[in-house]
Amino acid sequence: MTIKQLRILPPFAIGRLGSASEPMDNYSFDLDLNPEDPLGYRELKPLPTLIVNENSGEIEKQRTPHTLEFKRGDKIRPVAPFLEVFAVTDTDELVPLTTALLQKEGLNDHTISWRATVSNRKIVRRTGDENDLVRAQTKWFNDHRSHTLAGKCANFISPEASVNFGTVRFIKPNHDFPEIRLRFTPAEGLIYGPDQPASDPDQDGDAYQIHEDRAIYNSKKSWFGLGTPENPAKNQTLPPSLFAINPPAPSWLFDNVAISRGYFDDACDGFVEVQLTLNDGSTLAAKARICAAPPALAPDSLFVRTLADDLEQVINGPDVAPDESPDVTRARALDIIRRAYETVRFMNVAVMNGNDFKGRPALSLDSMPEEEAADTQRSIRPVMAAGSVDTFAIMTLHQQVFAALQGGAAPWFLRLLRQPDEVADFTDRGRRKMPALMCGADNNYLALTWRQIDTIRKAAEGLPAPTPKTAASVVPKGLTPKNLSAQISYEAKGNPISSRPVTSVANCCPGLEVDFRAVWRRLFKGVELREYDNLVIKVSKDCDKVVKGGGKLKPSKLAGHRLLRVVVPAASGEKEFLMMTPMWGPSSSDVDGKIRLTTSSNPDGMAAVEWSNALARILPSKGSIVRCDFSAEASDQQMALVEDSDDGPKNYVSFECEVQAFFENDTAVISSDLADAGELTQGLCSPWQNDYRECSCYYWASARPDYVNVELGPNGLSTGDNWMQRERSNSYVADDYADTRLLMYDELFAKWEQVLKFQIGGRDVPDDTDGEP
Amino acid sequence: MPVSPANPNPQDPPSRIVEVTDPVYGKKRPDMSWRDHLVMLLTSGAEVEHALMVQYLYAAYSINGDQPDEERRALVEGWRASILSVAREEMGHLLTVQNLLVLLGAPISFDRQMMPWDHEFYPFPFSLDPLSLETLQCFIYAEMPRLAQIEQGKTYTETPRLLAMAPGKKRQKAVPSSINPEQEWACVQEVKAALTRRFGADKINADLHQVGELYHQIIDLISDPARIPDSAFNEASYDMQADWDDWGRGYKPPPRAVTPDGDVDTAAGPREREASPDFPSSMAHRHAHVQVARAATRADAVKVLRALSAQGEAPHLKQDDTGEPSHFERFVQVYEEYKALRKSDPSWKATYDVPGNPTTREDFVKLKNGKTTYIPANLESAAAAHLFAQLFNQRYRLLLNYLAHSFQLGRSQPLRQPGRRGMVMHRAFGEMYNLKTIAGLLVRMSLHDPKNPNARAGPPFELPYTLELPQAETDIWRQHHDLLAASQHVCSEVFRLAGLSDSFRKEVTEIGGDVYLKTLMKLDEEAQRWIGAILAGRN
Repeated sequence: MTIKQLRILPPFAIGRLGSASEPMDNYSFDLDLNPEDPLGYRELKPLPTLIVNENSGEIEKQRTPHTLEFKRGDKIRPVAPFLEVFAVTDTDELVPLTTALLQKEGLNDHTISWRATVSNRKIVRRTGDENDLVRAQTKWFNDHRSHTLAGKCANFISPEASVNFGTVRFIKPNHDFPEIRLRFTPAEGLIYGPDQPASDPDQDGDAYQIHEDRAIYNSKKSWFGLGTPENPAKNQTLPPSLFAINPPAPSWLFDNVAISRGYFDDACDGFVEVQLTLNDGSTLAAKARICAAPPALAPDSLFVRTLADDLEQVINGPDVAPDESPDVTRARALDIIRRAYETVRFMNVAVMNGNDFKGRPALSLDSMPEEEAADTQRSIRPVMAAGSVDTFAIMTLHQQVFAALQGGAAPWFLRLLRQPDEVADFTDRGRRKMPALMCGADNNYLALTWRQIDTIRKAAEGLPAPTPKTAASVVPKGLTPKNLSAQISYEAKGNPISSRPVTSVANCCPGLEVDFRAVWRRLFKGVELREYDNLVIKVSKDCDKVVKGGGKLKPSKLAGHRLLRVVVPAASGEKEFLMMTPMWGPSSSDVDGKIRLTTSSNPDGMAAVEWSNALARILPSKGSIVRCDFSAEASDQQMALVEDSDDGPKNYVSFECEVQAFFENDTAVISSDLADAGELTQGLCSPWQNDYRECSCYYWASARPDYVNVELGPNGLSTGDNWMQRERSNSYVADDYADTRLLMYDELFAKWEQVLKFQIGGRDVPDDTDGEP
Repeated sequence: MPVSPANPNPQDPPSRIVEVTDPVYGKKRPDMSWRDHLVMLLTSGAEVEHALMVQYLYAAYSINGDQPDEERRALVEGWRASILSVAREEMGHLLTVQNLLVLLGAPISFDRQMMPWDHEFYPFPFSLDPLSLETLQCFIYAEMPRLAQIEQGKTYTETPRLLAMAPGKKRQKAVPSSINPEQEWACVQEVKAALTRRFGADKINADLHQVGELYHQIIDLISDPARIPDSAFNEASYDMQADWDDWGRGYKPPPRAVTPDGDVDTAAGPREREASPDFPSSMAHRHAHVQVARAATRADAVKVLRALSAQGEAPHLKQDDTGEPSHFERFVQVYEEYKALRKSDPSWKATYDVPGNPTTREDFVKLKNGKTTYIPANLESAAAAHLFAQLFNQRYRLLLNYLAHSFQLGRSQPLRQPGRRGMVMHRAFGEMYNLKTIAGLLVRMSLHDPKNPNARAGPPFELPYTLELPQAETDIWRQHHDLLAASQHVCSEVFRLAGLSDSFRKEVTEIGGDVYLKTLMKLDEEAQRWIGAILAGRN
């Protein structure tokens, strides 16, 4: 057996922030159904945990905890994932790289070296100043000490000042654990800021103050105070102003004034790289991505659309193969429905529906209908009939659907699934499609991936009846060099399931673990798009060489223009994919009518379609040339594509662009050409704690819950608490961003680990007990 | 005047002072008021819709999707989708008729007993039969318009009656039928001839016995202020009625694009077609249009009745009227496709070998002269199917109870905030899903018929001894709880017997029945807990 190539698995590992000194124990749950408790919460199972000796760097033992403790005292235990090195052999197998395998090659672990590069680009994303990049890179190392990822920044107060992004450590292989592995331990979830606090003498004395050790950003630089007329915020994220602002907050309640406090955090993303120096001096190398994210606070629930779903679509395409085993299709369909009710049960559906709440107008509360009303300047309307939206009732209905599918019924609700190009359909028909009441990556109503929808379609067309012998798993099997799905979902020894993409939300607006929108920006070589819509932000220096066509409009002048359409050659003729979709709303005078929703800033009434779905069918053209139709004129506004007609000429110019590969070189590592270190997290909130206050649960209900401790009330309706309310009273406090019964920004900044409560079985985990419900 | 026991010689004047003839076309009994006659017709209408719906469901559930090749599987699944779309629309009709009963201050009715009053409108005995050309002939006949409306060779134009039936803006037909008018005419003649042979010319002779005729009578009557005064309509009942927003489940055509001035926006392009499974049968691409309409006035009532009638019976029109294929058209489509396939492969079967009129009651077999098929309960034979059939009946009863209860709650529960009315409505839908699932299991379960090893069971749709709800609200909840407990018992019995008998266990587990029952039992536990909370709150 000869080593031909290396891989690091998993190719994408999520670390979870926390300040406890001991990392979280290993745990998991079955992704497949528990037939004994089909509707219950997923049972968390303690698994063998690798205990690393702090001095030697070896794994000294492996133990399985009796119970799971997510906290130690009031500190959350971080998730510190291991990344294992695998060898692709000459027999085309993917096997763990161990000391024994190295010895066979005449090598040892001293020939292994590592490097880690992580960045936090959240400030850069807002200021546009590359001097605001906070970057850490280790040297290549092959010792077994912990190496701190010290993030430096040109705009810090000194060259020595740094953000602690955590550590990486080459684990010393030994007899019992001979595999080659690295451990990434993320940071504590601290907040950093300017060297000069806000000096408003009227500022509330309880306002959070950055510890002096972390007051390292030069307050003379643009991040501090960004948002004033003198220092305006340009090229905003979506949603805008995702950062800690000077009180009062949130900005939309106070004339949209958002002036940055200059805060940032120790979240990051980047790469770990391994090198194996062979006897002849050549090297084999591999890389993987890591990120540091907030804790998985509802660890026994999965979101209806996860990063794993999006990556699955990237790998296997938007269409389910016609020869996919019917049992696999059925298992996947069931899994989608299961995750749907896992998500719904954390939502106060009546409030999220846009119902008035105890007489208070829905417009004063945060929900998707309220967002929609604000964005379209139309009256707020509940999505579903107001009387039918109790959480228990809706959850039960989902579970009833689940039961029917389990019993072999074909899905009858395909037409109820929102297509990705229907996300801006604000008619009642459009809004009531599933998933309902939640926000997608394009800031409109959430759609599943094309592939998830196709799974339901295939099941709806009728599958052979299920039998116990043919029950299938949703977990990809068969770890081989070509099976990228298996690599993405690989369970490294010692890694809790919360380190895997299946626990990362995918409706990235902006997201919690990563802003997956960022990877699509440079899919067309030479051109960089905005992560949330089709605006060309910049072009590469060699753009005129790598992008062809355009005529009078040169590729190098495309910044500020919009990508309207991509045309892909296909066996049956060209296929066209629009990057926008019309915004529709109900006609006020025709109950069967719909009308284009236009505003002065959006006169064509168009909305961007999120990249993950919009470009799903372009990916197979990697390395090929496709036609990209860009707007003939630069435009701040969304626009419709117009063809030549009697009314006027077309409004676009065609170019030929090369589609870049999504993954690197036959691996499952998202290409660095698409996203550099720090770019996967740059669109997230700065600091991330701000987002837990500001982004309500209609984004990621099963990751950032809304409705907890839910019980049956005396009238058969559900009662419970708002996850963000300080006192648990079983009387839900609706979020108007002003109610003093709710946690506010500064409390989260100061003590997020204490105030954000883990949820097991939909209930608070008390701080002074273990992880058992 | 037709022959009746009271009047054997129709040409003679009535010899009795008090006329006690059965109601016939256009005639009201003298001991009934016109309002009462109207309520009777509506109640008949409800029962006919209910009866048709379950017969359509049975036919759809009998379809065997496990076909030898992909093409046939897609075709039969398309038929199933098409028939189920009709069944869903019948459900909408059923609920709309209940709304009209509420409007008139009359009792709602989810019964299906085919009382003697309405036999004129549906001459065939109620019969649950697997899909076949014969059953499709009955379905076509039940839904078809007057024969005079369909004449071969003529361009079809809207008659004033048809126009009046479905007023409103014209829509583009979403998916046209692949059956041309000449084929349709030939089909109707064929069906008429076949049914005449089966049931006799006196039953099939005239256009008297279709569902549409019933609606025509109702429309005639309800439109007439001389016979039905304005005071008969309770406008305040509007909020008590079932609303499409709650019950429609999105089943209606997509909205059409209009301009800011309210005109059709031709620039927007054709009305989009929704994602649907890819079935070769063209009508199957079309989703149901469930009409659940409320009515506050006489004009509302007439309008909704016209729409229901058109949905059922509108013949193929060259100039589109309603813009959607009627039930009649859909059944004709399936019939012609079925016929073509049988012609090319006479041995082919579209369905499982399910019986006609399955029953869990051994005594009913004797009562009904062999027209039912008993699903035996003997442990050595088909006990599994028997228990699942019982479960089916229980869930059917729960569904009808929840439906009735939701109307009752409509009188007391607020509309604009979550309440028990909405929750009971969701329970009703949950039971519909259960019925679909259990039916799918039953048609795969063996009847253990020694004469036919392929014989399978089927969903019995048997009604309980009563559908009346208790008077007191608390007692209604107790009844739900009791029915759930009975269902739990049947489920437990399945598992108990599975533990005793290997063959029984195999019977259940091979079709995944155990997995489903476990989930169902969990759901029922939660439901009982929910009811317990309600009862505790009321006490």
